[in-house]
Amino acid sequence: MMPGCGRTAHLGSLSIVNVSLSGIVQLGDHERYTPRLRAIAVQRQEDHLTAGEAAFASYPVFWRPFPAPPAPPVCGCPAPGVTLTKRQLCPDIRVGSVSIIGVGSSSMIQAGNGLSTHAESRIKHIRQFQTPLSTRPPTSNPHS
Amino acid sequence: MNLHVTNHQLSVGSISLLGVSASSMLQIGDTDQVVLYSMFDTPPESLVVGQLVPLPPPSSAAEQP
Repeated sequence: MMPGCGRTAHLGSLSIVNVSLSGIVQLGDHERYTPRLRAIAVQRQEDHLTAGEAAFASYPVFWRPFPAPPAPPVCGCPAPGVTLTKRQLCPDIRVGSVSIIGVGSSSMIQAGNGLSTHAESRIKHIRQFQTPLSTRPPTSNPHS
Repeated sequence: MNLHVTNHQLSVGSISLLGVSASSMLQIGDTDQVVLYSMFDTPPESLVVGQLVPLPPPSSAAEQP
């Protein structure tokens, strides 16, 4: 990062209870941050040993492409590129206190400057429960 | 496209959050580009109450690239 591009963050206090599942707490600058998360959350009324494992390749949500963000509205420009110019009239950002309970799933808490962040997460939930015996429909007997 | 940003004074008393999850971010600072994607699939058919059937193997996927 070019020196002088970003402001300096001043934190009075930072309190975080839990950081899990590839969460990041960063005090400082970064250039590129590209986390990717794939998760299958299976809740079954059966053991994995007998029911088998879930496979990422079975579900389209794990390879379906993300929709492209719309291009910036630029008139008469075939290849729109964005030129960003910043003026920092105050060289710092001041925050009294930050209090967070949980940081997880490839997310980030940062006090500092960054250049580019590209985060992706794909999460699939599956829940299967056995029908209780009292609610099952009676089996019809064609011979009766 | 030219984007001009002028940052004046920024002072915050306190930030209190319950959680930050699934490709989200909290940044106290400046950045040039942020792209955050999240797909969360919990359709109604993902909750199955009935006979337990095996989870589909990868070979049965119809839309394999």
